[in-house]
Amino acid sequence: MSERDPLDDLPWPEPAAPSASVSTKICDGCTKGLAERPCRSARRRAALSMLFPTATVGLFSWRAIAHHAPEGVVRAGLYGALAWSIVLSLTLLFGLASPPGRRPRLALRVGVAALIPVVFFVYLEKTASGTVAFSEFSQGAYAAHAWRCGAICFAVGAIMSGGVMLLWRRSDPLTPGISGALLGLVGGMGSALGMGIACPSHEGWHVCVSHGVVVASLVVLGAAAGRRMLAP
Amino acid sequence: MEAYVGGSAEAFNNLYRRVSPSVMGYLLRLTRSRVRAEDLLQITFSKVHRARESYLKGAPVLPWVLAIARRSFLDERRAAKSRTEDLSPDGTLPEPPPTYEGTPNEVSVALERALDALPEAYREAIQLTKISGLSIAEAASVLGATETAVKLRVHRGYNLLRKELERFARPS
Repeated sequence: MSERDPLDDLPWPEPAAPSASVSTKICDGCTKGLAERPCRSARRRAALSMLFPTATVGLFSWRAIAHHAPEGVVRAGLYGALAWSIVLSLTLLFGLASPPGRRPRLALRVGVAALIPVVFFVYLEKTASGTVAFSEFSQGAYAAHAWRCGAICFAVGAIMSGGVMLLWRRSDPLTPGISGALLGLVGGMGSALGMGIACPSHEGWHVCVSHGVVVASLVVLGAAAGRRMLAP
Repeated sequence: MEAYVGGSAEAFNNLYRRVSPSVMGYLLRLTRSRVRAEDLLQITFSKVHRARESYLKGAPVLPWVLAIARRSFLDERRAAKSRTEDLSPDGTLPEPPPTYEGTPNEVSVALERALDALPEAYREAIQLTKISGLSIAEAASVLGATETAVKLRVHRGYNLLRKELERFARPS
């Protein structure tokens, strides 16, 4: 692009001004009763967003302690949550803490939103305590518990994602889909990490299907919801 | 923009004066109808007004407003497609795309016609980068495409424009 563009010399049309009547209508409509509103920064909203997974993990930990869960399990879960909260904070810092138009490239943000659930899956699989055969997991008490646990995890994650999306509502006309996916990730991870502390089962299939799939599905749903909620 | 969010009407008027020609030009290029473009301009600014408290400090304003304008255009087009009647809401016939006869006698007219003849994707990319003055990265974010895709659209659009303008330069 260092060469001189031969089309540079063309008489490109000047931007067209709207008619005076339309301009008056718009200016009147947009300046009537104009009240002072706070202009928040993206960084501040990103920091506030971290309160959601923190509160979720706190809530689930309190529940686990109230139900006399083994201390070692709660402690291990909290360490895991702490490590993942650093990953989530970095994700928010990278993907959302700068205003739209100044954020990293779309492909990089899509990569982060896709990669983190995969890494989280691997983490869940590695930290699971034993795995039963899939035929055993897919029926009877295992399956019933997986459904119940997955439903709770999904509901809490969806509520958290919705809450965090309200915080960012109408703030991104440029890339609402990918911003929504990242916010879905925040809600889903908060819920899955909290569930990891409160849930009595740490079997491989259970944690991957009931906790891990929720994160992936909330990322996808977040992308769809973000296009509606985050775009003005 | 920040002063406007802070409640300054004067700041809005300044902002409007600065961005409205670019937004209007973009909408005019998309709709090819002044009436529709002005309607969409009003919708765009009403959305900007409603979303002003969600504006994030430091965001570039023109791409922000242009992205809202584009979304308004797409919403309007989608709604129009699902409507069964062919008349516009005020009872008039919809405006047909412009048809030109004869050979233009000025480069600016030829360029205008050549631009209108371009496929929408190329036209939009050239309008944003060449006429509205956005960078490739900003245009890509407005169009929801990658920078490479926008560069490609601009390049292909240029090639088509060049062919059209060569025809104008050598009418025989």
